[in-house]
Amino acid sequence: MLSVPLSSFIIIYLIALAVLGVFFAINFFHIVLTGTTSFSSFLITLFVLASVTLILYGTWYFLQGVDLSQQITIWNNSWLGRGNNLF
Amino acid sequence: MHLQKLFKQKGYEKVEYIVRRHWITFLPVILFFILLLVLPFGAYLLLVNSTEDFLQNPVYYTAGLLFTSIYYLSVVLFFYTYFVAFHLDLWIVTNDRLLDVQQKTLFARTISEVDLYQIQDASSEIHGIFPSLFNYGNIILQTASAVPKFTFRNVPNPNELRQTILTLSSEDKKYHEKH
Repeated sequence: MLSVPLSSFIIIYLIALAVLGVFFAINFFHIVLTGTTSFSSFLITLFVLASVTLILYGTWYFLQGVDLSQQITIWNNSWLGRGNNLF
Repeated sequence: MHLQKLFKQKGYEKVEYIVRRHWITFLPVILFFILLLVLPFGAYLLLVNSTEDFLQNPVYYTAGLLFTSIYYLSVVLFFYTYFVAFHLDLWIVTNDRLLDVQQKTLFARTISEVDLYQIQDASSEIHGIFPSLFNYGNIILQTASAVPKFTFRNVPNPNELRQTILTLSSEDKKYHEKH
């Protein structure tokens, strides 16, 4: 039987978050480094930052009640029990 | 604006206009963005109605929550990326030349330019209901340079802008005849 803690989902989440963060930064620096900053770009960037903050806060808020130390079974030999009898 | 990364300004050169596509052309992206935001609510209602104890299982709950979080962050990133492509897709009109900056994707940009005195002919067109209502359209310039056709796509007030470009072009021609 192979079990992993529920917190391993968080690790996968953080990796995805890092990848998305890199792309957000690339977009932001595209605007800043080309010198094309304007009121609309400021407004959209502010909206994006506010949305990201809200999403991350919401995720943290809804995760508070979850016990991340509990184990989840990702593989159990008994799942193949019936299949093994065939050979 | 400091546009050094896009083009090197000559000493006597002055930026007259920076033209972008009309904001209404960004509207389909906003509508699609709203649709993508609403989509998970439909999926949530579907799951809750089909399997009542779905959210009671901590594994499904955590996985669902983290997946939804990544989904929404991806949607916001998609919106921002499209905005940056829209924002950096621009035309710069100076008293010496025209620059067409095409931001195709996040990592693909094309910059082409033409000297104002090389403009031979200019035409503007407004086709369709929305372009007529919001007064935007294309300006097509025929030039004598290596770029024979120069197009401003979906720009606001195309007729006025065409006239301004032609005026700037004739001024530049006069300057080049003297020097």
